Amino acid sequence: MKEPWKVPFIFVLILILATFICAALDTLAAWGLSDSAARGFSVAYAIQRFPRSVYNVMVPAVVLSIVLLGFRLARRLVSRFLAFVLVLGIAYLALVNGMLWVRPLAELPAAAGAPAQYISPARFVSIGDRLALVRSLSGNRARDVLVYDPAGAPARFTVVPEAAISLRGGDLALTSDGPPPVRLRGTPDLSWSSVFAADRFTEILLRDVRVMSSDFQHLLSAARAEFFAACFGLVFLCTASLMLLRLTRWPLVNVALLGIAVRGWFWLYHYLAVSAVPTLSRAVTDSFVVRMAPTGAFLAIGVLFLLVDVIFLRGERAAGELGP
Amino acid sequence: MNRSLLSRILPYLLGFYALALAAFFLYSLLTFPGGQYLASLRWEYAAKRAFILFMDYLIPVHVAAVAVAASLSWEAPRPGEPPQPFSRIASSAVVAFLVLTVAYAALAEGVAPRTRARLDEMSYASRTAAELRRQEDAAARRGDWNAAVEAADRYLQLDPGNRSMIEQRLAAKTRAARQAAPAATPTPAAGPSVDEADAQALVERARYYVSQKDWFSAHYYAQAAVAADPRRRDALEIMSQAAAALAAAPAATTPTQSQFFALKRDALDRLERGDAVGAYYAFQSLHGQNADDPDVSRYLDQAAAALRRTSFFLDEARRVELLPGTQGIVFLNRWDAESAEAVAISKMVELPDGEAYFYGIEAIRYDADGGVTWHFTAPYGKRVENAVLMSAVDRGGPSVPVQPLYLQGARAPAERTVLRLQPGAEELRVLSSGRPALASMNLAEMWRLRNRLASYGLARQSLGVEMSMRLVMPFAFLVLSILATALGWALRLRTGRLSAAGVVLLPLLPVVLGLLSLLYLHAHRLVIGFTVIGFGLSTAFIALAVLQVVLLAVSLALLAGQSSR
Repeated sequence: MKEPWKVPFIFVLILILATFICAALDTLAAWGLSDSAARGFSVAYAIQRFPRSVYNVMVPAVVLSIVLLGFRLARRLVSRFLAFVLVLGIAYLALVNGMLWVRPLAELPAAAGAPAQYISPARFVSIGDRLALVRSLSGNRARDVLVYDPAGAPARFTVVPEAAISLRGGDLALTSDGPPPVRLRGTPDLSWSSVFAADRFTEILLRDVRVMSSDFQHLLSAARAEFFAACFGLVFLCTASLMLLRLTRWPLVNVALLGIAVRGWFWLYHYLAVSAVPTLSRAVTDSFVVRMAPTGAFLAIGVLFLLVDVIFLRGERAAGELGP
Repeated sequence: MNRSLLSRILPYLLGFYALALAAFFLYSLLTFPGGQYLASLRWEYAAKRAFILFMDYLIPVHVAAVAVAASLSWEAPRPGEPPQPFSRIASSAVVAFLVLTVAYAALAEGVAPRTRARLDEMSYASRTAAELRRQEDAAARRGDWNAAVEAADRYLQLDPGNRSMIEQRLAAKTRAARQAAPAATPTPAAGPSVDEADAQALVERARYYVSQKDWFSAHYYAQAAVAADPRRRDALEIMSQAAAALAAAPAATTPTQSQFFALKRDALDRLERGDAVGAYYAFQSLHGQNADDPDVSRYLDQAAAALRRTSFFLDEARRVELLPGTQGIVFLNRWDAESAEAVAISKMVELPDGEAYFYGIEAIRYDADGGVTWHFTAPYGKRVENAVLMSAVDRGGPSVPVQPLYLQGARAPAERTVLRLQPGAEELRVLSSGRPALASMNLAEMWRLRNRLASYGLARQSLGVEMSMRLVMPFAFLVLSILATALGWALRLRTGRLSAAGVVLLPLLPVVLGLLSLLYLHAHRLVIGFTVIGFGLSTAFIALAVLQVVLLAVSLALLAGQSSR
């Protein structure tokens, strides 16, 4: 079979593997962070949760598959135009159809978060700079609550008979009218969350990936045409970025460049969606233009990469550079 | 290609390690937090922080070095010469990775936790020094030169080379000399305890003092014998005889001697009644009047020994306050259906002889309805076996003792200044709140703590995951080394010399490979967290062992699959 004919099958194989591994890790983390306090892990839970995880990881899995397929194509003598069209078409179809098909199966409500995830009786949990310890927790009401404030004066310990606990935007809030009145709010730690806490570099990467995935999911349910455009913009940019694999004669550096570029696209999307778009929306009244700004930026950069590829780079490397 | 991969990789490894260490050292030096550390600690801070950063990022640096070296190692075979099998080229490198893995584990478990702990101590000492400087300034402003000298002395214990403080101390010392200095007081040594002798021995000692006409001592030991065994009639008789002699004795003396004698008797009464603090001060006052009196000297020692069973001297606690110790200890001291008891200790300083002093103690007991039974704070404490004494007295003279301040409720008088602690000495050391404490512990300490952690109110999961991650790190080091070799070799440069663009772009490699390494470790953390929470630590260890074997096999298969052509 000639190489171009193999590309779709290889892509699908890579995508299945990448999706499975990422979704499995997402399922484990979701159980640990959201559901472990309420229920044990079982096969039934995994089956129920897995489609949701696949839905969550579909975008990064497709991007990863494009990159991995690019590694293979860089070592094969394939027309760059044909390779570009093949990867773009297959990846786009996989992303759009994957999200469309998996979405009905992933209707499992997203974990809303409950205080019980973070608070266990007779265990200190840190809320910001302070610690709290409860005797019992029923829904959002905690009984017999001990609060430790390291900067408290004259006393660091405070006890209140009852307090309300809630999760807001990832922060845990504990309030009681007292006596004495208590107001705590901060990132919960020390218990489950620290178990799964990523280092700061990984956490920033995961944050960027989450923003992109959730935006794509929102577009899929709210604006189908914009979803198709956004998918195309992302896949187009990633496919065009494969030209970096032919930038220098040293394959390892080329791979590093592609890795940096892909990491950069996730960061760029986060920047555009979170910081630039709200600013743009104050200057531009057309909401469609505002919403499509990240996609437009992706397409523009992708076109730029294509021009560089066509104008400055050689079509194929010599056989001696590619290796066996 | 005839050279082994190892001979190519080693120079790169050493170069990358040296560059990373130098970069981290420079970074630590340039970002030295002057507000948190003494200026004199700048170099030590930079060296230690650089080492910690080096250990934190050693895997990415190592992986990058290996990948770059492997990528640049390929040499085209000479015409007519068959290429060596790749296994022969790479075998020495794999053995070297095993050796480096052992070295990495030793550094990560042996040196890194101690270095982290030392950084914490340096930070604490610097904060203390800042406070002492503030105290010295305040004392100098109000003209209290003795206090200024004391604060300066304590500051200079932490920062001995500080010239400005040395000059300030000299100036304060000169001015303090003009102020009246308090009289020096004798320092009693801990004397033998009557608790250590049985009733018979005490009676014999009482008889001896009767024969010596030392009625004070006879009365004291006879009374101790009666306390040990109330049925001892002989002891009662000696007590009676001695009391009669003491009552008769003052008549034969001068008025001054008579007064001194009465004071001695009063002090002895205090000691016998169990008022060790009152007796200590009374005998100390008498010692000041007549240092040659053997009775006074002996009972001063006895009173000091009795005092140490319920109290401690404030100057002892203050003297070691600046020594490095464990900070931010918070734990549940008791937890049952009816009540709970929590304890916070700002700092614990342990001495080589096994003694330990506590600073900033706070404890609270509350019932199941949230009602506070008692709640107190105490500035100082001293550990005695599994309890903490919180009554501190001034060695120099009678003053109000430093005792717990009850904010709510009260305890029985006998317990008011003592708190029993559930954690042992070693456990207290590792009960600091937050993750940094775990980072400062080695695996053996974590293992010892794991079973009792929950009863002190700390989540065991964090400890289990931290232990598992520590165990995984050497395996990650080995597996990633092998994978980096395979990756570098697969993406090797085949066109001879490295281009200028390659050299310029070289720094990208550690960044990308570092991110990949961190993702690899995070995936491990997810698996470990899942198994620890879901199935417990033992299952997590087994699952991890299996996973590492699989990953090692996969990495070796990938390496073996490389071609040397």
